[in-house]
Amino acid sequence: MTDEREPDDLESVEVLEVAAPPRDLVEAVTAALSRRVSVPCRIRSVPEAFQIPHIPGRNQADADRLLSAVEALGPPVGHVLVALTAEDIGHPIFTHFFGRARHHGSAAVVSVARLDPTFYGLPEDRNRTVLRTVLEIVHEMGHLAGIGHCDDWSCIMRFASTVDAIDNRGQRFCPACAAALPPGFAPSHAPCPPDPEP
Amino acid sequence: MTTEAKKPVLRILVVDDELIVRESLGAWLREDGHNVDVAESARKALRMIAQNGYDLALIDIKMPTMDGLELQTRLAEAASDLSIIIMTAYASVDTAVKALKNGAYDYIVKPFDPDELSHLIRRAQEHRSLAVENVRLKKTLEASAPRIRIVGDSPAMHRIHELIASVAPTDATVLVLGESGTGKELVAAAIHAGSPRRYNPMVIVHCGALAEGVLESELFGHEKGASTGASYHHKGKFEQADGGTIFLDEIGEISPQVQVELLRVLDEKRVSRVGGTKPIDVDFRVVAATNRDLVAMVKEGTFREDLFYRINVVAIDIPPLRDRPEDVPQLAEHFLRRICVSMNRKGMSFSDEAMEALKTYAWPGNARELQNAIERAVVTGRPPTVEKKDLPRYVTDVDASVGAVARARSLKDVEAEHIHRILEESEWNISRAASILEVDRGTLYHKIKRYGLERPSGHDG
Repeated sequence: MTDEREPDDLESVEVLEVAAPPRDLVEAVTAALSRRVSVPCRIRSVPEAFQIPHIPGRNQADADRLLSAVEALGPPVGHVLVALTAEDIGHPIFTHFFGRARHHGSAAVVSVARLDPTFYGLPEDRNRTVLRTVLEIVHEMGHLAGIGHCDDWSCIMRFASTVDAIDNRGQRFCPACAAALPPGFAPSHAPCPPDPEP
Repeated sequence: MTTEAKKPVLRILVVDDELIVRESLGAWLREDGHNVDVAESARKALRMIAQNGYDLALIDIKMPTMDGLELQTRLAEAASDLSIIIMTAYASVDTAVKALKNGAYDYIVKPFDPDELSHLIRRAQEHRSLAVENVRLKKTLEASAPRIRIVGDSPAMHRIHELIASVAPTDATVLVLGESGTGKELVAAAIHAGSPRRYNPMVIVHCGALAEGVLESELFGHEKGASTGASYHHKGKFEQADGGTIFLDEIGEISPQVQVELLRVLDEKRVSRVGGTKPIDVDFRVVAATNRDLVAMVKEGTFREDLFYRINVVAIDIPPLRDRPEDVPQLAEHFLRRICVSMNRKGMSFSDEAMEALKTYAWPGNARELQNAIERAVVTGRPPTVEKKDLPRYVTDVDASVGAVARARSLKDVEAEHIHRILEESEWNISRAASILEVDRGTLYHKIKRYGLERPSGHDG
């Protein structure tokens, strides 16, 4: 956990490109995200010296160490940094994650790898990938706002460890979780799925 | 957190010598709303569990000094209500099977699939809720279960109480001996009620009441079409007693042929229905009873010696009431209270003379006769006191009683005298006499024939 932030101080979200997810995907996700939150969303490039920590013996980035590295980039108070990576992320004791964030933290990590239908041998579906990625980012931002997992299937804060669960849980915060959100997180009425890419 | 109050919070202990597992798993479970502690060794885990108590322990199988399986074995004794999930780095079926056999709820292989772990925790949670509910219901059932009280403070009855207490929790076969009316069935019920089988049926078979062919079918059941009139298959008493106790009353009355079958069933714990070909496994405990001298019957060759030894594992010999007269007042008060409740009469008691008469009489029919005499006194007497005159004449006529016992030199004679007297009292109404004697009509007919009792001429109907 980094600095403790008050729930009313979210000013912007920066989407950090890590390990080269397709640029058009990052743009589509950032555009869709900006319609979901009421603060500006921008794309930010990763510093050249940035190293992705990996789990020995596994073709995966270490989600927790990656999260610490992103937090170390020091987003200023009121700004959230979301590292979006094409690499599969895991943990020495967990097989995989879709995303990681600490409660009241300043940064989140989201992997596109397992959100993409092609990972499961299915045909490419860009809209679905964008939608899942945006929903996962919003879920992790919920943790940054200090909200834990919710039992309500209609709530975006419900725990999901499969893409089916991500697809089936709600796309918005339930009233109880929404009440705990800071103003910058105010639920928008963005269309779901997001607008098709140009 | 917002809606986490909806799901129950578990107290979880993570036991692993690897720091990263303790920290990561602890954090992951806390995020899910649980109260989590961690321990880096099995010894520390034992201390923490003893001090704090947990709902669930996630235990790594491979740890220095004491491994997860040994910790699990120790916890089985120290914290039997703790649910355990074993964590292993290797998908070793042998280890997993060993852990499950030791009573672990489940096991999970590292690295954990978050989905699998989440489901496992949820299932363990549900399992624990059911286990807690089960314990609560058992306690409720225990509290509401009727207690079997065998009345009597004499040294002989104290020995019987002790014997019942020590034999009941075991699965040992018990042979209850005693004259008619001494309470053999009550002793059998107390043994069943004190055993782990008490939540399953106690099936009573009055062996003397059934003809040979019927007894076989009653005990072992029959298949459809096994005999004329067997239109349906029928579960025998042994099958009905599955998981519980079968009480074979008057076992001395069974025929040699059924004795052979019975011995086989007791040995094999399998029954074959009459007309059936497939043996059925049955789990039962046997309590047998008789008022006959089985040793003499073995010598005479009318009771199989091997069957006798099979049922005579623990013998409980209930002395007749005349040998423990100090129990009469307590028994009499007990019966009076019970009869008053059933007849809705409040606060009745014995006059000193009535109690003296009860204490003087020899009670050849034992506690059953005492109960019948008191019942009759309550019906015919006027509340609130049972007077001497309310008791049956044969009880108050001490000379007659003493005379009867003096004339009756053997147990057989006493029984014959008693049956004869009850028959006379009931004007040879067999149903009524059988009811007073608390035996079935078949048994009574059998005894009338055996003792050569004859109805005096002049009686009608």
